[in-house]
Amino acid sequence: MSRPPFSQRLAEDDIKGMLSKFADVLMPKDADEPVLAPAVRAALFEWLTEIRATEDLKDVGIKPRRSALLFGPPGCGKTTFAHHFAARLGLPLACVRSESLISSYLGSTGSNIGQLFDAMAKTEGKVVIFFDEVDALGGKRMNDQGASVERANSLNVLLRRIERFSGIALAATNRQDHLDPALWRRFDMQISVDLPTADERFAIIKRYLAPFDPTDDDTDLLADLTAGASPALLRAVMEGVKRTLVIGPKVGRKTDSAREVFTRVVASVAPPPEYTPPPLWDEAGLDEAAGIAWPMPRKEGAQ
Amino acid sequence: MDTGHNGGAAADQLRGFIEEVERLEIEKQEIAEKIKAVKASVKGAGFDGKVFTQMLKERKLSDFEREEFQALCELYRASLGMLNGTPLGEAARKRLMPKPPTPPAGGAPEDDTELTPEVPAPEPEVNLREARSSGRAAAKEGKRIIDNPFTAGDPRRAAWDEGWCAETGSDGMEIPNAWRRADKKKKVPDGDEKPEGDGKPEGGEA
Repeated sequence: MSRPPFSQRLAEDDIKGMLSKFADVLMPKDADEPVLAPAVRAALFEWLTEIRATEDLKDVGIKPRRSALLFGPPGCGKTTFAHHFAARLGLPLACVRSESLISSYLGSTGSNIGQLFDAMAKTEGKVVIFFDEVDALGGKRMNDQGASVERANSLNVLLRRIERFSGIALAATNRQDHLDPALWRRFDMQISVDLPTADERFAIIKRYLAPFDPTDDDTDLLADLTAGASPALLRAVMEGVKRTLVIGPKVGRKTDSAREVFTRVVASVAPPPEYTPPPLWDEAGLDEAAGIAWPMPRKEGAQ
Repeated sequence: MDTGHNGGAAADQLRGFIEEVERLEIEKQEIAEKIKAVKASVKGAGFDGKVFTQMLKERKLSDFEREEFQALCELYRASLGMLNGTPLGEAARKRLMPKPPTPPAGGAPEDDTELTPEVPAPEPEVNLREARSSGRAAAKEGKRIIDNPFTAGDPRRAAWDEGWCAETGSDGMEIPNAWRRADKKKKVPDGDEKPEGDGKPEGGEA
């Protein structure tokens, strides 16, 4: 390949500079391998194909969809989805920091939203915008008093600017019931990013237990015991296990059985209260975890 | 502004900076006016203003960039039937490019009409084929799908991605082999119909 064209060369610093006030910019090369549920993958792949088929769609008088709202339990990979999607298109992802938009001064939030979209316009559609926790800006409009008026005004600005935005916009929320219906409708697609299935849990456990490398049977057992856990919770548990293995002996705690280690870990991390805890969070589950070969084998050549 | 009783050295320093910037701003404006005057004389001397500005732009490019830009312009003109070429050349072009030029397949806004080297080119089918096979080769070498060498909006990017996916038989989001069961006869997980790994390079799939 010859050298990359202009757009790629001037990209990174310029884009980060333009958007730094309101957003963190994630570059395509930094995207992680996504571990997403099959239905979510299908939605993402279909959308990518659609954007690439812009011309064919034009022939039948329609345009590719340009915005999507991701919703689902916390920690299920909504940001990973957005980052991978942008990376596949070769575009940076601007993760908007809601707190940088919200201001205590009257009218300032709306004005900040305006400034953000103006900065986005300067990138000429070469950056995907991502509003994480969009409910912070787009909660349901309640009454016409006090701060609610200001919130409603800001939301109006957001609705209008998203409508007029010519690039690709993504937003995520784990409080879909709390979202203003007008904002919900403003997106071309609403994609549910749900809890991982057994295969994804298996992969996530492998990923976050490394350099420890339990056998496939043991990993399967862990995947079963963590049914219903989000990727974020799985990560917390697996990292908790590694932390306990390193720190435990230093503070005089025993780490010579799987049961002891997992008991300690699940005591300090738990799924959100509204979800049924996976089996690992009760005694029977911990008894089963005791069957894992201990100490866990370590992958050769790993860190 | 008087420094008052709170000023001191810091205030002086601040004022120094401000005055420096103000002075530079004035200079900037003066230079801008001079440039404007030169451009006015260019027109006065009978040169075409638009072409003159275009030359200014092109002189900023390196030889490589200029050639690339010109090649793209030619391609665009040819696709739009603006070359008034010979019948033979025209026929060859039609054979190579059955379709009118495609705008960027993704990312760029629809109103992106600015004439700069970064406008993605409508690539002849033959280049798309090359991009597709280079995507296939990359997948065989174990490169990640996001290591696509083509820029956003370039149709070759989509072709490379397609090639990668076709080679691995996946959507580019398969779980890497390092995190999968080595043993093929493992249970089918809840609702997931993904095929099993087969020892291909990372990310590879049967």
